[in-house]
Amino acid sequence: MLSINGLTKTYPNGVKALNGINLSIPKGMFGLLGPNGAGKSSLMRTIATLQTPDTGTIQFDDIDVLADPNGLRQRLGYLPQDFGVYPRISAEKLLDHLAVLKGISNKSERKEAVESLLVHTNLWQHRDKAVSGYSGGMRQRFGIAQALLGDPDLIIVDEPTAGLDPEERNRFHNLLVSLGEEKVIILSTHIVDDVSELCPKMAVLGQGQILLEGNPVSLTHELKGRIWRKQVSQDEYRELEQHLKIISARLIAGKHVIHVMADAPPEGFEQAPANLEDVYFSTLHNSRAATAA
Amino acid sequence: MFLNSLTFEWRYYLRQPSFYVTMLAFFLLPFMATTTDNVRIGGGGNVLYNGSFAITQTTLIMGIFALFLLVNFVSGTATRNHSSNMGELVYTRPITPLSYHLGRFSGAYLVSIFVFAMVPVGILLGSLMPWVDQERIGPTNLSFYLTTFFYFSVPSMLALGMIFYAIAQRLRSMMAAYLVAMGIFIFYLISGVVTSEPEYRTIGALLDPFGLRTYAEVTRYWTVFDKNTAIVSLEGVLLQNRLIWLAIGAVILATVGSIYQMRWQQKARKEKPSKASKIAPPEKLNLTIKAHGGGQFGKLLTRIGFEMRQVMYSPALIVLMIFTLFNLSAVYFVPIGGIYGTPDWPLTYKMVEFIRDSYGLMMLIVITYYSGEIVWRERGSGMGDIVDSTPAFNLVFWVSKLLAMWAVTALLYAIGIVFTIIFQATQGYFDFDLSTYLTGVYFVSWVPWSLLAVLAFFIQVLSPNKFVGMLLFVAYFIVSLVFAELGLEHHMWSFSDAPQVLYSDLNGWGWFLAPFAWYMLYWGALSLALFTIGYAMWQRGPEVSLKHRFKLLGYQLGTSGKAVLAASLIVFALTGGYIHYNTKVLNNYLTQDEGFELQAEYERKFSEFEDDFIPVVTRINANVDIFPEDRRIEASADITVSNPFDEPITRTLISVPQFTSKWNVELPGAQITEKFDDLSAAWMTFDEPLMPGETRYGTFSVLREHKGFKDGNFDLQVAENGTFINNYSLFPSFGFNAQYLITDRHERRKRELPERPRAYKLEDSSRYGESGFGKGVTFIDFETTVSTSGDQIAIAPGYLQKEWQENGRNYFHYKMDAPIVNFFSYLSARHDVKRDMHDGVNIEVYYHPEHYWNVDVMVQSVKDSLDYFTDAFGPYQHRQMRIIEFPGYRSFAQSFANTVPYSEEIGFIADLRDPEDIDYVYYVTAHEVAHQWWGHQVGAANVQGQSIIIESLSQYSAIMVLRERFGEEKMRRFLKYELDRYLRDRGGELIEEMPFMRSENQQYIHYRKGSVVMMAILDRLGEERVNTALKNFLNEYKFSDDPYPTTLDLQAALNAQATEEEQQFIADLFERITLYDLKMLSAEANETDNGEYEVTMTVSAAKYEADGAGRETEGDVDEYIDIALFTGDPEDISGDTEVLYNQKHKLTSGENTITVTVAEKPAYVGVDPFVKMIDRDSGDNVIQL
Repeated sequence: MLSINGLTKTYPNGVKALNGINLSIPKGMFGLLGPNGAGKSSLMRTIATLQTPDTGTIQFDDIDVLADPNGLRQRLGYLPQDFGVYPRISAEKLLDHLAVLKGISNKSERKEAVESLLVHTNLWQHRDKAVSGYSGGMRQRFGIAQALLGDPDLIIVDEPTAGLDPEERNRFHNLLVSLGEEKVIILSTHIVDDVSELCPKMAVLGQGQILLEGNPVSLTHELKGRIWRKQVSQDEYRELEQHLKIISARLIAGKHVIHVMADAPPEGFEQAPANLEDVYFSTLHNSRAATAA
Repeated sequence: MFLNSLTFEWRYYLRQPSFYVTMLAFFLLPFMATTTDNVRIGGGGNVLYNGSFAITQTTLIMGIFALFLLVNFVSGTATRNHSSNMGELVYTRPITPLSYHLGRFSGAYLVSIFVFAMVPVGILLGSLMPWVDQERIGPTNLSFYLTTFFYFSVPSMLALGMIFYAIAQRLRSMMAAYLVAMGIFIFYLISGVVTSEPEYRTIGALLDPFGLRTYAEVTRYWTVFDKNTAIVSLEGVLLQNRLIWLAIGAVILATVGSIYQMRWQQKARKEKPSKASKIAPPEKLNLTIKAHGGGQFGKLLTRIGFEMRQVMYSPALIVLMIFTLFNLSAVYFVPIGGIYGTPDWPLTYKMVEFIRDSYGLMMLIVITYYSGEIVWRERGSGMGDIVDSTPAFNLVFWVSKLLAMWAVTALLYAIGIVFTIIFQATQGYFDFDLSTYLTGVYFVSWVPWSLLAVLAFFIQVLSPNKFVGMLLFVAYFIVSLVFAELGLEHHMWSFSDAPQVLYSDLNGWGWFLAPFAWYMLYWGALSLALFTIGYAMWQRGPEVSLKHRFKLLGYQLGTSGKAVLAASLIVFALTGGYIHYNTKVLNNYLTQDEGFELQAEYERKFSEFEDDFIPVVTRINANVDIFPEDRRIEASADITVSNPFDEPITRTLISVPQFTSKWNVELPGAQITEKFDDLSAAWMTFDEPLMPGETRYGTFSVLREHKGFKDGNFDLQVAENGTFINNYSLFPSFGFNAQYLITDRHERRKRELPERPRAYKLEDSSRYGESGFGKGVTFIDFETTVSTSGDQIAIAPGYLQKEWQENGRNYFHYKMDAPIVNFFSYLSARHDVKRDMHDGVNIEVYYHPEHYWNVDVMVQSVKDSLDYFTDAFGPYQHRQMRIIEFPGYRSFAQSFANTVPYSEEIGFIADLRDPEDIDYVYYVTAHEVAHQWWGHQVGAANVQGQSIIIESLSQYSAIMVLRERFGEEKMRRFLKYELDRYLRDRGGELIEEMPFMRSENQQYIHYRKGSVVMMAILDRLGEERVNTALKNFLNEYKFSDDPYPTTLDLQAALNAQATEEEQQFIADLFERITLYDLKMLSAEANETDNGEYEVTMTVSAAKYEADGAGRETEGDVDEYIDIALFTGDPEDISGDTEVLYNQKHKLTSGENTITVTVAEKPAYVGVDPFVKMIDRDSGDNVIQL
């Protein structure tokens, strides 16, 4: 159980990355959605003991993370949003090295852990090549492998599926799910599907604040019957934009399909089944509208 | 496109902090060099701070630092697209590659040169600052700044910039560019060393990319006057050098630089299927292996292994090691130590010194670079977030990183040791002294660098990034140079610094190591504190502000960390206190300024008594007990004093020697009435005045001892093994001590002391009764008993009367049978003795048992010298000649009556195996023997030219002995050295070059010019006439103390043997500063019908008379000068070069054509090839036919 209270962080350049975050994250998968620049990575880094907030507290089980970062690190697996590796070291050696740092001191255990992860992340064949020479996807898989080293109780993965092909992404999702419900796993992403597929709990972060928190299914359920869609041309789109609350517009086979949220159907719109994406976009839309006003 | 990319670069850098930081650095350094005494870049001597020479020298030296600028800006530009991943965006644009690259290069180059322009600006502004000594500032002349900048800086930086752009562009690596920069620097150093011999200097001048040696070559014989006013012109070697380097730069840019294409060269790499890929994955997979946090020790070990591998296998280290070897290989090309180009034996301590000297700057670079690299490794590689979130303690990272840093430096030193051991072996020297290696290299050199590395780490951990950290570290270094300016000269103020540690084979590490260890403990404790804070402040995560890290300090330190921090600070404070107690309480500590102040005070207080009459010592019977193991001397002397003057003496000043805790002078009817301990002076008042002609008997007594340790100003005269102390250092003396005055003119001016002439005028006959030792020093009857520890031999002038043991100590009683000059010494050491006998004279050489090599050479030289001098000048006054080795803390030999203390540095360790080398041991020995005549039989009046009589005549005598032994032809190399040294050193004259006969104790005149002048006279008058003149001169003034002779008398003695024309020649040499410029312009040989060769030569001749500042006026040549033809290179002294022809021909100013006929075909022809004239450039006298 991870609880975060009143976390704020302002960078020296004046950007408020975190603005009074309160969250309590139970065991299981937790999805953190948010657009670029919302403060996701700042929050992740803060939890991962790599950054200190200006105010606020973080508690993981009985560890006061800010006062005893090393206590948390013993139970942490962390995949940063982007990372590099030491030059000239193979995946296997580097994982082994990290395993030592994480505290798997028994040599045969370490070997077993490293090899298992290499297989699970599909890196077995490339394990003796320098990670610095890996392609983007392979490197990302390596990042996942190292985050899972040592069976951590708190796993923080920041944009883990970026750069993975669909197959690898599925594989990764399965891996995360298989890790069981006994861990706190925080998945930070801007891909809504990742969350809807995996997470029983989620939050939306925007401009350093929690805009929405809850269970994806019930959040989606709240929008049931209020989402309407229409296929429109470019000109129509521009006109509708003026007086309707469009929460998303996407292209399907070259045509614009717009979603609006309303209690009654606007003219020419048909009802659409609500999904998590609608929840996400409407939340962001509301937040922006609020800021603008 | 060209202009676009140029302006882009320009604007880009204007926004970079590095632009302003470097501008500040390049402004401040020359500015401070001009305005304060503690930062010195060029200049020195008597040249003006804003004279042509000082400006150019400062600018050129700063030009070496400009390597850093160029790499930063030019290579930074070349790699920026790559490092910021902009490449693909830029290269897909439709632009012309060549103009794009040239534009960028030019932009970056202009930025660099703009930054570098701060150097002349710094000097210029510095010279205008009101607090600068106005005596050292001349009128501002902008052309001095501009010529230097445009002749040197602009082309040098262009050439080097092209190289760096090409390298960085090709290899996409800043590191590569830095390594090339370092390579260029090391190339510069090594090429300088290799080409330092006179015959290679032109090559050296051409190979120097910075133009420093080119400038040195052009201005080699510039006088002070030239240095202040002359401007170099763009011609000759300078022009050639500039063109060569611009061509090299352009060719490298054009060929290596890949400037015709836009894409990075992609390396096609073949993927090899690895073995690992063929092994099937394990069946049993387990993702639930729990990490336990685990012990930190295992992590530490792993981490150490990791960091070590990272540094050891890094390309940078491999390159560094190659450079190190390159650097070390200089030992094969340059004689180690020694003089006249003759090497010393490769003794281990010489090797240690060599390693230490060649590593200094490199270690600074290594620590600056690696501290940034290692501390920021995680951040730099992008691995930081992952590694930082593991439960490894900061300490684990910090320790492993520091150990890796230490390992790199230790490895480089180990390479040095292995290399020099191999060198020793290849030189046939197998006495590898490993403990000296370990102590000298690891303890004395490596430990301070290691502690400095801790400081570098500490600075890095507080810095926002590694470049700022490196810059701060270098800035610390520069600032620490100015510490002394702020009165922080004590080594306790300068991190990881300690008093100098000297080594001597005789005395080992002497008393130096213990204080060194205390200082290292002191700095070590501070380093431990910094280290502890460093790991607690270690940055984990991408940006954790200092403030936050400081908040977590307590947590990160933990209890044991806090304990260590506290303990280390306590040790730091305690050792600091102990050092303070030793250096400042037990011992007297003075900063340089404080020392000068005391000297000034002494002068103000007592200079009016300088010419007071003083008691003159006429007899000494001294009891001297030396306790070498305690470095203590207890001595007393029965003295007889008399008043040879016309007036009664009522009081006298007494000079007290240094390091003397107790002293007394007792004379009946007189007492010490006032003591000035700070000034080492006292007044003695005579209740009963010492009447003219009266004699009294009294005593001196002193206790010289050492307590604790000092920070500097060591007593090098009393050593555990190798004490050598003279009577003026040991006993009090009467009268004003002129030696104690400030001689530096600028220091005098600062303290408003009046100008003080260096010597009394030659014509001042009131000084003719004083010897060079000063007033009241005359001939004495001498007897002494000296004791030392049971394993040492103690020596003083005189004949051994008795030798006995008492209480485990050795006693020696020496007595002189004839009066000696009141100048004697005591020596004590564990020596072996070589004894020989020659015509009733006992010859003894007391030497360190390991230094046996040249003892026979010395004995032979003594014999040959005694023979020649007895024959030429008259009998030797003693029945004994002793040479005694003393530690190389001081490197000279000094002739006392029948006793010559001889430093281990200047002969005992010379390696004379190569017959090509000048046998300077033989020569120095002969010189010292000659002093038994010149100095001990004939003194010299205390006026200008005094040292000419003592030293130049000894030079002459020694050269005659050398000539007898090795033949006239082989003297050429020796005399070329002498002439070169004279010409070079006169350019460093501080005040005024005096004519030969008026030399004011100027070494380059009485030694160097002395050799050349005397040889010229010898050449003109012949050996017999010169020796007759000298013999007559000697006989006239033998053992005379009133008056002592002057150079006027010497000239008269020579003139008495010379024709009128020859007298004119002697006058030219004695009275004026006369210089010739002789040059063999061309020569051709034609075979005649009868098989002989007719050689036609064109020789140019010019003659100048210089004033004391070096301003020259041309005179008329009308001289007979040697023209010689050789079968081989006359440089090659061991070869069988024969002289085919050697005759004097009359030369006049301008070009002269000379035709001679010889039987054999000559290979070389020369004008004045045996260096008999003072030729401004003896390098162009001989040419190959």
